[in-house]
Amino acid sequence: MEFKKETLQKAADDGSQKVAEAFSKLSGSEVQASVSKVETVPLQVSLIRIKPPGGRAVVVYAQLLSGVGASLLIMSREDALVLVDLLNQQPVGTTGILKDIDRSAIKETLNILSNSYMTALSESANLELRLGVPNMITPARLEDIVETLLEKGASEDDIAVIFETILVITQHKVKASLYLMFNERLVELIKE
Amino acid sequence: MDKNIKILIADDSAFMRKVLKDILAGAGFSKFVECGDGKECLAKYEAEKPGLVLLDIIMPVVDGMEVLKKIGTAVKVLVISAVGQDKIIEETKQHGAVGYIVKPFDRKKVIDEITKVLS
Repeated sequence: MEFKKETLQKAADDGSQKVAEAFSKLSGSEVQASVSKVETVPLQVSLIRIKPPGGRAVVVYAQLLSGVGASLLIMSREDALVLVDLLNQQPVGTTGILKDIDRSAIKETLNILSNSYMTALSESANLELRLGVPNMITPARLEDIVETLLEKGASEDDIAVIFETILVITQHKVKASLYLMFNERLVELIKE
Repeated sequence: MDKNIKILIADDSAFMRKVLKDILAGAGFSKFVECGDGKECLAKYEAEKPGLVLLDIIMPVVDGMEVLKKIGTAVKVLVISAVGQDKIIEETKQHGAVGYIVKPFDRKKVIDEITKVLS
């Protein structure tokens, strides 16, 4: 899948704005997109970018139905707990352990944020991209996938287009990283 | 508006089903049926004969668009989905959807749309 640079950048700008608005609506709090960029980079570089942060993290992914990419939402466990409270409109600090319905809430957050981005891509690049059902994976699993791909080494042809948006719920200093990546090998590994 | 109507809520997200049920209960509705995938939705539709279906598009097993193609002309279906592309929205209307709400939504928007659909 190839895009013109200008198309990608407009899509990234539009996508980040839509995503920030959606996140703000979901959380009931002001949200800023502190980082918004799109790059065409070697797969190895993109994989390093999505490695979960140190410490406990929550990772949700959804595959593009055409199979050429995936969307990832990564945040610290502590921020995930705050997000769950905001989504449930309850006092921050209420949730101490993620229950199944809380995981459902976080997965739905990826669903909504990623589809907001997809709408922007559709409007900017006239592309109809459909995401599949979101799933939660452990940070260890994502790290294994990343390490496996890095160890195997990437050929010169292994290029990924990666959209990166970092969102901050300003009042609560909750940070979430949203990635949309277009590369078939990553998707194949996640499916295994 | 008949608030005794049975409403089938089809969404793979348990969280979203809870949000919608809470909104509807707050508006006076009390008869709900839930399902988490398209296959279950079709089965529940046949068994429960709801008067209104709230349908997500992205669902496992059988997706919402396939469900809509099967029941869209037989029952009032309001699509509630994160998918916001105009082409998809138009496609749902071609298959009989009476309305479309893009997530995330305001609670008021859901009630307003349901009121419009049921009136």
